Amino acid sequence: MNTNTQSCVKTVRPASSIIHRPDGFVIECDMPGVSREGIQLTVEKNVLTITGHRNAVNLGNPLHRESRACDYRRAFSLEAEIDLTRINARYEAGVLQILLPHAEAVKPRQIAVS
Amino acid sequence: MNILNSIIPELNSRSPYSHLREQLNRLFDVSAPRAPESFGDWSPALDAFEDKDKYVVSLELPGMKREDISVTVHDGVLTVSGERKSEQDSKTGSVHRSERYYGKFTRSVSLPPTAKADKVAASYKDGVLQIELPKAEEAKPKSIEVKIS
Repeated sequence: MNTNTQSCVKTVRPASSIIHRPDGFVIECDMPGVSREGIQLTVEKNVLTITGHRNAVNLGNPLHRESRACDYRRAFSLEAEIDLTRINARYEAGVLQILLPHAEAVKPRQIAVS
Repeated sequence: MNILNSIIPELNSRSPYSHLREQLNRLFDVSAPRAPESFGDWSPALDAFEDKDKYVVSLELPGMKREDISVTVHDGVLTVSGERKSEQDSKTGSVHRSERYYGKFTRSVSLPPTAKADKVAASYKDGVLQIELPKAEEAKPKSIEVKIS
């Protein structure tokens, strides 16, 4: 059996959803086949970049192949109203979920009338 | 036996929209995964492999719960079906943009006669379902040492 584990050269844009919640945005990306250690998230100049390194699947001689996903890569430009210091992410069952909370300044606030 | 054709995905009737969706995918993003033949709302990508003592079928099923996936073998056909449910997030917030597939799916594969269907085992990790079918003893390659006198 071939034990070649090098990564594929091609990158694939993971299918994603963006959900707007009262407290911020949630981005969910389908990234099956990546281990948690293979995911990198960076924010630079208001651009959030997601990369997911996927080892080439080698479970024997391929008989049939449809999966084209190799490494994943996607970038999102963030609005100024997101608190970059409180971005949070988790990976579960092949889905990366990123929580982008609103900065305190843009949260709806009740102003008391005296 | 033709090894390359020993595991063949079934050609199911296609959803009337799958062709359109495929074209739209191509229009907007050349790297979007090709929608294979299927029936159901979406069609997870399927790979099949063979080594000397087993067959392995793997499906990309991100964001599923184990209890929402069903794996059956009937009359030499392996069928994986299930439903991907939308997360409750869409109820607590408004969906801004969605490219992910939700809903029911079914994929079937004709098994070679050497696959031992009664010993099928499946695991789900990092959004990938992996199904292993050991080969029957007689199908495994044997090496016979021949003594030369």
